[in-house]
Amino acid sequence: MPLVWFEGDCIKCAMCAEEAPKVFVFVENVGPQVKTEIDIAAHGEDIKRAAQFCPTGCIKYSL
Amino acid sequence: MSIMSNAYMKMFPMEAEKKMPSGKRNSALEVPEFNKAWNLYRDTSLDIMKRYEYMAQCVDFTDKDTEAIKESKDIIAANLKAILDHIYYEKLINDPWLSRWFRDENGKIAKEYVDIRRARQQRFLLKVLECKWDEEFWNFVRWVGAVHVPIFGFEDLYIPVRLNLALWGYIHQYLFNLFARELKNDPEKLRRITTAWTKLFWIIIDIYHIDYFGIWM
Ligand code: HEM
Ligand code: SF4
Repeated sequence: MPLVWFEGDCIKCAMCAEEAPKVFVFVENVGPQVKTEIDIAAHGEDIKRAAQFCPTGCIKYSL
Repeated sequence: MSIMSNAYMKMFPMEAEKKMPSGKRNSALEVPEFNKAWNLYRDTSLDIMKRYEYMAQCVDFTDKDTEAIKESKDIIAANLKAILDHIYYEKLINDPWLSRWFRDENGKIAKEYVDIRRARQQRFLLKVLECKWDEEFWNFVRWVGAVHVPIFGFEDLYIPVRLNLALWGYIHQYLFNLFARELKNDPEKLRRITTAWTKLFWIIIDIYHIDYFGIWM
């Protein structure tokens, strides 16, 4: 099953939610979260892009 | 005449001359050569791609330059962390004026905020390195500039133009010294890469500042 998750130090820059808004949501004072009830496989490219721009490399996925 | 208006007339003697209509109309709309210039002015003000294309042909930014920028990717990628660390953790936060926007209300450097700004700057550089000179990219450059003024940034945020130029100038020379160091045995490649980056920098600086000035800029 395709998965996406966070691992390691997130600096809460919110860029993942900007690069892949269908997948991630940025909750103020909490941080980024993976949206529920989404088809992760359908957003593979966006997820890869968000992971590429994440400054701390904490977005992990298996697609 | 008051003392003030006397002083003003001395300073600007042309203002003291009687105003006479010259009787000449601006021929921009009738004379084809002027009309071309007018259309360029108008189109490059309204359409970001036309602005890019016009600026690119002015500074002679061609596909060869794009290739040269791509050639420089490896050097930048290998040094990206050092470049950003230097700009943020040495230059910005130690400058008495530039650092003002990176301090908390007690005047201390806001470390977490600096990290976020640095991360966002990294994304900016990575997007430049993708070398996709399309509308999305130029809109992004324009937007980055616009967030430094209240038009699209916070209402109380206004980064003076001279500071942008100071930082662009600083990044420019820092990159060029890096290229010179890495390519000291290949002067032709160094020439290609620094020429291409010089052209690109000028175009980016124009688009970045669109929202700093009126449309006529
Ligand atoms: C080389 C010129 C500059 C570049 C390329 C640049 C780049 C950026 C980028 C990419 C962003 C963030 C946009 C985003 O949210 O992704 C940003 C925002 C910001 N920049 Fe710059 N910047 C430059 C000059 C400056 C200068 C000179 C200062 C002040 C000393 C400054 C202070 C800020 C601040 C405070 C923000 C936050 C704005 C906000 O959160 O709305 N920048 N800049
Ligand atoms: S891009 Fe990375 S560091 Fe930034 S908020 Fe998302 S997960 Fe955190």
